[in-house]
Amino acid sequence: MLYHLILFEWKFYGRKISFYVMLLTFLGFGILVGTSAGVAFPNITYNSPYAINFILGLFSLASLFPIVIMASQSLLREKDNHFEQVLYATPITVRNYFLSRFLLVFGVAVFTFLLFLMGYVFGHLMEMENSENWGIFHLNYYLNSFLLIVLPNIFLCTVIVCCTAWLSKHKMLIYLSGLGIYVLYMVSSIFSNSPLLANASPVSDSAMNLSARLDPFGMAAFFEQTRYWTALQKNTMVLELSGNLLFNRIVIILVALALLYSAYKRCRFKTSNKQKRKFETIDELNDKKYVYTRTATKSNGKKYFISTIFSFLKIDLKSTLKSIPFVLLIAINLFIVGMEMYGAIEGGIRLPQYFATTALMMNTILATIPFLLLLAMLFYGSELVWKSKSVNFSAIENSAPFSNSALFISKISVLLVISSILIVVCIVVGILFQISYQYPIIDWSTYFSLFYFIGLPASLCGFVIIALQYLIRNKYIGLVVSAIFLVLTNTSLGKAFGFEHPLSRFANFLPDAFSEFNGLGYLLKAFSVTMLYSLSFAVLLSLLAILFLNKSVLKTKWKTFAILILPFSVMLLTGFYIFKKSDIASEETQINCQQDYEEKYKSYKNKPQPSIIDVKTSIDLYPEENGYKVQGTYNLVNKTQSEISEVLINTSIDITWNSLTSSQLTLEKKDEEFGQYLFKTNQKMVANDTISICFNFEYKIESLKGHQSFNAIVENGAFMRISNYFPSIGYNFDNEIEDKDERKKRKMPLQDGLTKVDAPLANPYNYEFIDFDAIISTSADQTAISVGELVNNYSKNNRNYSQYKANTIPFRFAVSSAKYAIEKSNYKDIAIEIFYEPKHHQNILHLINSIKKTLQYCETNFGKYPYKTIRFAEISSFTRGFAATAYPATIYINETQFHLNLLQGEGSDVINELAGHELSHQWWGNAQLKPDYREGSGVLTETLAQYTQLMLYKNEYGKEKMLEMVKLYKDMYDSEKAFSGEEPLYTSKPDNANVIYNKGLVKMYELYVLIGEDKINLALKRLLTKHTFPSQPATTMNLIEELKVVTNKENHKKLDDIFKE
Amino acid sequence: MNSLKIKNLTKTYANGVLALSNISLEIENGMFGLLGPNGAGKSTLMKTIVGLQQRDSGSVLFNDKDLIENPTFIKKQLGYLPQDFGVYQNISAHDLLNHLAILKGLNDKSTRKEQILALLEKTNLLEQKNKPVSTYSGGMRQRFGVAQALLGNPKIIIVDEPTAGLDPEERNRFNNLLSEIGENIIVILSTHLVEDVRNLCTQMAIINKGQLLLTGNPEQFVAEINGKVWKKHIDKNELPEYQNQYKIISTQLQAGKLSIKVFANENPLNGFMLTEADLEDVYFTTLQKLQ
Repeated sequence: MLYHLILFEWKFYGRKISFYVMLLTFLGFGILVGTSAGVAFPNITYNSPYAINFILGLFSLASLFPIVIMASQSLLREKDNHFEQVLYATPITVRNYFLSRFLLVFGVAVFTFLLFLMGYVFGHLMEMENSENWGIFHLNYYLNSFLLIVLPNIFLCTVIVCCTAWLSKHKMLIYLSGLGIYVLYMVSSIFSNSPLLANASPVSDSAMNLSARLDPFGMAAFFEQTRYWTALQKNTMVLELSGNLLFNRIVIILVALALLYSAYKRCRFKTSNKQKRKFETIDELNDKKYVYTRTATKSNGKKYFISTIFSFLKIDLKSTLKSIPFVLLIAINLFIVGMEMYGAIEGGIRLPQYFATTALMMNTILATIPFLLLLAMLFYGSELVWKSKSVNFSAIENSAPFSNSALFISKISVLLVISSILIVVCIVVGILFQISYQYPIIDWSTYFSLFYFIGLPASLCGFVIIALQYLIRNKYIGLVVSAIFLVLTNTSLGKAFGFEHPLSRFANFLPDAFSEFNGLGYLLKAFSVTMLYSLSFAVLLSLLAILFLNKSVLKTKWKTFAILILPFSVMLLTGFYIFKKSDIASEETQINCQQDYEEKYKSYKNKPQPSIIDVKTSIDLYPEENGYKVQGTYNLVNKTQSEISEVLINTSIDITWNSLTSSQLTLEKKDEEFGQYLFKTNQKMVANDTISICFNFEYKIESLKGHQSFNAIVENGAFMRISNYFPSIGYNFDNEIEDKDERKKRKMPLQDGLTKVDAPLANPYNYEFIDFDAIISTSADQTAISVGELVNNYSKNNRNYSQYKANTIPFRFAVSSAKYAIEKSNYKDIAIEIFYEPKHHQNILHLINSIKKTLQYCETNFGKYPYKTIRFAEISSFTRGFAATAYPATIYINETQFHLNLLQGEGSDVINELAGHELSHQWWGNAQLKPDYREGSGVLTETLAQYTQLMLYKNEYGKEKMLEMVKLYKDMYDSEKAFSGEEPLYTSKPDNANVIYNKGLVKMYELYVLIGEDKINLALKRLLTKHTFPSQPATTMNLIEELKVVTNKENHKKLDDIFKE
Repeated sequence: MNSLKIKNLTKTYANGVLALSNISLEIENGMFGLLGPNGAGKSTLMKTIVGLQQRDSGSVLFNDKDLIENPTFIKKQLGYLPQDFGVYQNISAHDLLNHLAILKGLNDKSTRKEQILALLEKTNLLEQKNKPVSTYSGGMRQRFGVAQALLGNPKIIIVDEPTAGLDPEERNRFNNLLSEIGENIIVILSTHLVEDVRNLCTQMAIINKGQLLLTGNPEQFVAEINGKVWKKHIDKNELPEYQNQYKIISTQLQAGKLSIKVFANENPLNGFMLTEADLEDVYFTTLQKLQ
């Protein structure tokens, strides 16, 4: 019997083309994921058990699609076709009926996933090559994770969706249960600190343990089991069914079985005969006698057109908004936004609370809601189009003379209302959070702008979904086609599949980049242009759909098609504009370019070149126009003993160069492609000869291209590490391809290795330091901050000028500009200046206090602060990539790390940490202890800054708090070490942040326990005295030597271990 | 005077079923009965007239306008009750009628309201007007269907098996309503109940297997075969024998005995009695092509 039931079901689906489309989609998807190798973890091979687990676990959620589609098609089929009573009268047993349907849904889901897996394996086999990115192929890696992670997940998902279907008998609830599972997944990702989420912050052991047991998808258990695994283990060991993973899997299966059994018990064959409500009381109208007369109608003209739109809208809204599924959708929306906002404010245990500003709420909404909105648009879009038909009302409705355009417009309007309601819910939650977290400065216009930034793209997606439904005329194929369209053109997943060019993106939501300094800045313009492009596409598609809705399209007069001309030409024009303005080179082109550069100019690598010793420049900033202009003069000197007859100058190709000249040089060759200028010297430069060069360049952000993170000339809170864009001399190593595999693929020789820790140094060592003199002008209402000492400050022609000077600093300088508020103080004769966004006043005094304590500690223990001023300048979040960064006498802080509520939340005092760390860089790094780039050099800057930060934190908050901090950093190190590698400190790579920051802090703590603070500080002071500029730079060997000097002999072994293991 | 002219209408479904085969009909004001067994093509014909279905060839003209070229022309003056229909969840009868009234072009709010309430009263739904139609019983839902078909100013009303699911009293009310409004407009009533056609229609057609078998005035048809219908009670076992010998119009069980009617121009003797012909006899005679 069971067999026959299943066979019958199969016959039903075997005839459906859409079914095969779904199967093929999964197979193709698997191949795509397999060949694109997926998420790249450093040091982890693409076909390692770890990567496979990660990918399969992530995509096990994709089974929701077949499950939901199968469940909605097959579980309620009898009800939909009014076949219930016939079925229930047959001798089919509940058990067989129930089992056959469940097994079908489950079987199809497993089968589709196996197709995905096949495609994935196949993709791997196709791409596999003999490089360190690929390990040996083992089928059991795939099967292991399929059995341990995927299969139970599919089982659970199927049970949840099927039980929802049986108990509710409501199609929309089936979709929502799918959505609910997704939410559940996101929530468990948040709690398990899944690397799936960007910026996940470390969680405590107990939380990890708990989420490993409870995460229904086993991903937390997977992360927990492999948390401290080394790269080798991650590459070769499959998951073991033990511990929390075993517990988790058993509990999940038991819960699923229990759910299934209870649904089975409740699922008696009953027709859905709802209890009739009592008749309402007869209203007074009844007394009147009505006479039926035929009444004249007018079914043409504008008024009729508009009233039909509204009538459809009213009916659709009434039946949608009152339905349970919509209420649930709102609930899910509330839940997600609430969770995310809570998370955004609380910020994890690493950070204290953020202030609940409108900007934070806005960014949270921008980051979370678009996806939910897209799903809502997809589901409601396809439901609405077929609603009339699916409830069998279309014959009546369609016998009325309304126009198809009115129908179309009304359907889109419903989607508009639905998305607006969801946005309103988000705004209300945001405001409630702001009030309850006592930051009731509500920026209404920012909130309202969400309707434009989220509502518009969502509606445009709605346009396309509805248009596709009408064009394709099959609900499920239409759903799949529009889902694929949106995934490719609207999500970041599409970018991985090559839909990267702005012209291939459709209605992308605004990124969550709202800054309290400058709002959305130039992003607004870029957004509006792309929206116009997307809008014209959506309108074009909609008009086509409306035209094809009138089935007699072939007879349509050509004049009718004329209405397509307007959207088409708008699309062409905006498309052309976007194309012209966003010529972003693909990654491949960029790497090709890097290869060409290296091959063409490598010969200059060892040619003697003069050094820049003096930079005089005037920098004119135009923040409102997102641009700046620079004029400058270099003095170069031949510090080598060789004669120089050729000077190679390289310039950034992202900048517009107006001139680059020198009276002592003659231009030999100008290579526009790489920005290379090859000059011949008029006279040979012998040792200590000087020449000067003048240059003039300008830059303006092209809003569609965006800006480089360290070149953010935005409206307010601009920050540019502008030295990156100044001309540099000689061959530029930074342009080389660093990725070893990429080099291998291109048959390029390996890069020159990192200088060994004990490699000899030139003596005297050329620090390449410069004297810096800059006159910086900016708008009248802004202040420009640069590095070194402020020597002059004046207004001219309605602009603010400041002149900064610094002697003997590294060639690394920056500029910021904003409408700053200023707070001044001083420590002894050192002036302290804080430049901040006026709304961010909360932590100023605390910062000043921390600065003073740091200055006192460093001056007491390490030596004099080298400048007259220390200034902190806050910058906009349009610059990303650092919390704070130290330059001579100036430290820039990102607003996201500054506007924190230190009094609340469990996080540590980051202002204290930040002041301690960054300010100590004035000793460790910059113009004092400035090691050359070699093994271990990162320890001498970052690790020592971490140490200073730790000591200051201890002094402020005591030893117990210090231990907490050490534990935190240890956890961070352990969980990342598999990816970063476990290098000993003294030979660590300078760019290995996990080692030099996290391991560094832990090891310095061990050192502190071993020999104590005083001795460490003594050694550090000796190191600094011996190796500060202009003496020979230090290496980690020197650091260990100095530490040994102050340490008892019996501890030398331990001391070595600290740095060398 | 309204007119509906159907010329050589043909429709074959994708699965090969010939639903309409070269049908031509002319219909004027008054009730027009469309008789035929289940699956005869009645619904297909109606859907084609309404414009919900495409025809393969032939034409339909309403008041001399070609409906293939002007599909909305008939919709502007049409009331249509399909054989089977559902409704949106959570929408009351009143709201749904209001919606349909707007779609039909009843733009004036007060007259719209007046007509809706009148229709609700006529269909005995006034008390339940604020209840969702989805919670209605079968009969109530059918009455709602009738009400919506009368909205606006229909010049042609097409009702497909309208009395299915109605109890005798409701059926009576409905029939009265139809004949009341059917005087000045075209009403096409599709049914397999001969009785309804006899009671209501001045013109009729019989179709079967997509073919038009007969069209004209019911009374005239009855008159034509009057005197040719003979009746006899026989034993059940004798039926095959009679089937060979006579043109049997219909058989009916009466108290365990079989009563058969046969068609014959002359008295077939053998105990047959002449009986008064009625429309049912016309129907069966036509279906079996006895004449």
